[in-house]
Amino acid sequence: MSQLLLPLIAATCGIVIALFLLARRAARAIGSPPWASPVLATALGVGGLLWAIGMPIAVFEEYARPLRWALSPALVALGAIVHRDRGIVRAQAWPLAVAVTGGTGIGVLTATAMARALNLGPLLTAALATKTVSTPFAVAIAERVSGPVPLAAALAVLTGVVGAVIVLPLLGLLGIRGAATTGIAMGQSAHLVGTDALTRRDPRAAAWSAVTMVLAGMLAAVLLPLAWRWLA
Amino acid sequence: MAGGLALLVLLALAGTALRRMCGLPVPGPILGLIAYLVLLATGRCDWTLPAAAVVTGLIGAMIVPPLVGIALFGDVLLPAAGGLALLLVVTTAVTAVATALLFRLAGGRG
Repeated sequence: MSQLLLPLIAATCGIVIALFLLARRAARAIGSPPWASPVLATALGVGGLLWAIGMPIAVFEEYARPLRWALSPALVALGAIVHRDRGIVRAQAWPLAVAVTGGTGIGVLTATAMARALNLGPLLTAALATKTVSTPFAVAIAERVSGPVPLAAALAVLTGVVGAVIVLPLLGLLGIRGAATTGIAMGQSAHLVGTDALTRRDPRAAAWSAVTMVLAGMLAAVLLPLAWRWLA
Repeated sequence: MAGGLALLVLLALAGTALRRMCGLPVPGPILGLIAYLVLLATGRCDWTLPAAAVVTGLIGAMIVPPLVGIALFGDVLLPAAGGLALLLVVTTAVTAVATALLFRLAGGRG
């Protein structure tokens, strides 16, 4: 059994990574439109594959567990983004700090308040508390407070997809322009998927978006576990 | 590359160990992230940047399993689908606009 398990785990993780790289290449080939999220496409592909070979999702999750372990060093690696863009962080440190602090607070409070108002129940309310931070941070926070990890992760990704589609047109409609402002708004509201969508259209805005995403994630990871009992 | 990967894994594990020992509320890998920022600021860890770039580039693949796992929550999500969609659109829009306005109000340029 154990001789069989290791190759199965390696094959599962390998197939997920290969599909993701393929999906990313395909998305870039068509100009990375915001709706073409490689993450979402890979998830749909994996879902279809599981259905086709009749593997239960719970079994897949078990085999794919090393990918979740990899999220911890990946979170550490995100420090390289802040280091790379430290110049823009220093140049506008105060307004950036205000935007990230306020944006994280508003992102968390609007989500939990609206979840309560809509009667979505305690499980979804807890999972939505981390929707405004990127998935590796959402997973780390949910693990720390024993929250619903898969739901929190999935809702963070979906938030990113929604934000990647609506944020730029919305800001344009309101006459809000500029690489720094749009990038920060995108990084705070749509984190990973939003940053990805910006990368091709406006690399300067994408740098702001990436930095904001990491700083907002760090802030939420420090504050949310402390405030958890009032939120979820 | 291998050395850089090893450092990232080591920092994540050390962060978690420190978190457990001291009973901190912060998730362990965040402590590793902060330590990595400090190490990079010393200017002596630039050799780890290629490994960090590879790892962050694969985050998308790492979050696929939880996204697939959403199918296990059909009984929670399907009844709430309409409200959930409305919530995601409204709160994401409000967060984006509020963040942009806060940045400008605090004197942000560009």
